[in-house]
Amino acid sequence: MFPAILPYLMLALPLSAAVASLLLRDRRVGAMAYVCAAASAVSAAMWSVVVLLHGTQTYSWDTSSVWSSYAITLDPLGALVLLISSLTFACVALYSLFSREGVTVRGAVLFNLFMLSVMLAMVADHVLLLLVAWESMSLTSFLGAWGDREDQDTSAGWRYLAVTHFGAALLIAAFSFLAITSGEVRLSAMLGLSGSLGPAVSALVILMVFLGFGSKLGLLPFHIWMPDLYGRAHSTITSLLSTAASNVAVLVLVRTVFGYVGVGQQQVLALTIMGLAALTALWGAWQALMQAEGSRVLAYSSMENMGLILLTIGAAMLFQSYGAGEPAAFALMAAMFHLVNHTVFKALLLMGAGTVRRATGEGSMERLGGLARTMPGLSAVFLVGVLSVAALPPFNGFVSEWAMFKSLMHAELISDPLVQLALPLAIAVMALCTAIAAAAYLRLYGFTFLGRPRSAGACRPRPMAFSELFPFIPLALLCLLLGVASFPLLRELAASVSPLVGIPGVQVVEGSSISLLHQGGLDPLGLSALLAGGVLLCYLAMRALGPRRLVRGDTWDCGTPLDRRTQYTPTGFSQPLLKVFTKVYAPVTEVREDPRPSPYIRGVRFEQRLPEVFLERFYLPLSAAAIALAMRVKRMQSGSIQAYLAYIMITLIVLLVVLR
Amino acid sequence: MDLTKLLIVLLEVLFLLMVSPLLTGVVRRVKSWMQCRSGPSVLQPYRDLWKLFRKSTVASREASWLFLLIPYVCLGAMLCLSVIVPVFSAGPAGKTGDMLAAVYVLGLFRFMMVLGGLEGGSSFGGMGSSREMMISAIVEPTLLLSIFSVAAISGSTDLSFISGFFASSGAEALSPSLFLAAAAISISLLAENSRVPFDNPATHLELTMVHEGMLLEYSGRELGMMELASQLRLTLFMVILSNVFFPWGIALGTGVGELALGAGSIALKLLLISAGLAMVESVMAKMRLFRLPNLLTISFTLSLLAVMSYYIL
Repeated sequence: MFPAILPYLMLALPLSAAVASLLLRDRRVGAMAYVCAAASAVSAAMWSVVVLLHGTQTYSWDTSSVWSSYAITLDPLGALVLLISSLTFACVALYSLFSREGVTVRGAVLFNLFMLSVMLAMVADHVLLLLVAWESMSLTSFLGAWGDREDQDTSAGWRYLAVTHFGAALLIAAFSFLAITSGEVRLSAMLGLSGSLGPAVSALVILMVFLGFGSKLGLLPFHIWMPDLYGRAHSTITSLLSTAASNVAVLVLVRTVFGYVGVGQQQVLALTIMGLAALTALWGAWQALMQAEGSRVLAYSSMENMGLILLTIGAAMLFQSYGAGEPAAFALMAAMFHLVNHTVFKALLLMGAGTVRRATGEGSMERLGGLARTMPGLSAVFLVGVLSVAALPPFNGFVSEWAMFKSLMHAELISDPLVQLALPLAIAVMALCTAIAAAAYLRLYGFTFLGRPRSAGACRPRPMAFSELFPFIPLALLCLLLGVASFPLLRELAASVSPLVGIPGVQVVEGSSISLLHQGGLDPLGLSALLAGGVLLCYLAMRALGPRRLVRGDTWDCGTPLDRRTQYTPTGFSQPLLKVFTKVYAPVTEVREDPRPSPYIRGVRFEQRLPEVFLERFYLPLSAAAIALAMRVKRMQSGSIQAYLAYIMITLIVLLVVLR
Repeated sequence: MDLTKLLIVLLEVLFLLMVSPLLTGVVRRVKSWMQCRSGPSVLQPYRDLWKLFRKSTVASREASWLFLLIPYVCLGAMLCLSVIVPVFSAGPAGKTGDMLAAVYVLGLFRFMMVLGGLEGGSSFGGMGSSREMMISAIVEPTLLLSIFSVAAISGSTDLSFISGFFASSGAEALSPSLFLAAAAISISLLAENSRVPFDNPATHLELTMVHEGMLLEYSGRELGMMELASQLRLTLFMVILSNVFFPWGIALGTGVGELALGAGSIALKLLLISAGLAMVESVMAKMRLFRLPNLLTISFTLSLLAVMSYYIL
């Protein structure tokens, strides 16, 4: 039967492609490997559709080892995430294949291995399989991000590796603990362990899992690797890391918290998680606004989006802990929908930022501009991505953000005053985040694509072939489709999260409109039709007044010819908001007289720097302390063999005494 | 959606389109009376628009394809919003969009207008865009929180439902948080529509301008569309303010008499709010740009208090 081989195809294709290109070391084989990756992604998408139609599927492989049988399971929730992730994978594979600088064997191998580990982590139904896939995801992305750059500054990569392994350590501890206490290695066999663990222990486990996955999502203070890595690594890797890896993290987090462990009565834990997520989102939004490089804006934007998603998941935990199943399901649905939407638009934007960088040779927005006239195709698809990430109708980010807001508006269902204060505050934070982030995305688009070019590279970007533009088009269409016709997906999502909150099925979709508890709803299809109708009406009305007579002239210049410097810069654009939030940014300003040879000219230098607070106040002292400790321990390492023999003997004696 | 409802919505959109330039004229006229001038006729905005619509367009050579598309999107978004917002009838709740969605449609308008300001690389446009984003970064959360408090009181975010709720419930629905929310939304109205003390719609000085700076590169038909869209936005804000906080007189059924009463009462309210706006603009001076965040933060705090007080009291 055909559908039965789909999971095998999904896992075997990338593995064999990686092995073949590693053995043959030929660029044509590398190109074939990308094709294999796309084919594997397509079979993953098809398998997801099969699962959505027919229900959960499990494939197991019995071994006689102590770890019993390995298994992969795809449930409807996983299928929805896998479906969108694999479509994105296919587009990124095509993007790498058609990229002008050509295919490298190394890139192809790492791409395939990374994709394999992401897919495996999503469907793994075995503790060991999950942990191995997670680790392999970290390693392949690290290698991919590190090796593609000609310069030798690898600190970003090492930071990533350190943070992600701290997270992995927490995850290994948490999952091993779960496996040992439940006596099960199959994840799907664990269900609602919190009853047997007790509230304190299960809170600890949830917190460990949350922080462990949070390290990949850029949770405060684990975010320090993100901007540097995104600024440096190739856009193929970053567009997968920000989307697919985040999907795995959130998916397994939701399964663990709501399924394997269960929420129980953890109100304080839920509030803690919401607080941490809110800080993450705010910090991400604030920082995104001040970055000079497009890819760094997008890195902080990932942080902001993941913060909002975790905030909504925290709210779902809160509702669940008070026994309000329906709002919990709605919040979970909204968070998961935003997660898949984020996958689509963030991949599109990161690929676009990478293309701009390679076409112009410029990374900083201070040196870009005017690309909408020289790269109209890219500017159009990028605009779709920007409108989606800024949550504007009729695109997908709007629908999911609307749903996230809506899910927080159920404070009246819970009579605890603490919650009734926490939820409005969460709304305030979410609103502030989205407004500031919208300014950041606007700045990203406006200063990259509009205005006059600010450097020679931006004046004449390398022209883009259609094959290069092609991978963007399905993603842009998906942004629109998931916005306009989101109701089938939302219906499936609502159905697939309801088992996690323990109620049979939440009705959130009526016809094409989304609502819960009759609190006012949204019909994305109708709203999009109204928008389109409004625009069309304007067009027809203007046509009726006669044809447009268009004259091209100069930009208004007050009589002074304008050049590339006489226009607003991204730094200038965000300056007012820097002033408003000056307590947050704490800019370090330095004004000093510049000694000049001439006595008539007075030179003044102005420098403003935004310190990286978490790096300077937290990580650098931490690493200094670690190094100081290591230096102390080093005294033990005298290098003489007698000393080591003595250590061994002392250890032996101590062990014999203690463990007698 | 049945035929009567469709007809009412069409009438409402036409009403808003017709009345928006008039309200701008009224505001200007009242302002000139306050300054002891006779001022232009209240019909002047119609003449201006008619003139602009028939003129040819001059666009910057440095503007891209997006520049000429933006006015259509902006005006289209406002037309879409006029369908969502109930004007003289809080009829059966349509589920096309609620107040949250309305904020997002306003967001689309603003996003596009600001992008238009960055087109062509004009310094005035950049300045206007930058200032607009500073203001909107605080106004948008204020609006959303005010909506939250109103939604908490009435139990819905649907505009028709809210209007109907407050119109039929009378005095017992009055609560401190409603007043706080009304104050917050009123300040947002001034900020969002670039009125004094946030911006001066009457000047083209670079020291003061926010909104006009962004439109500086537009001319002819496109300028006319942007102007009409902005006027429509002001009217929509006034309609939302009056239909949420003083919805008395709004039609609850579909009877002709009721609808006529609704239309009459909303027209009266719009005139009163316009006159009030003109008064505010006449007695206040434009604030220094970097003092605006104080005022905006006050409105944000008011809206937060509105929500909090609902739950505490």
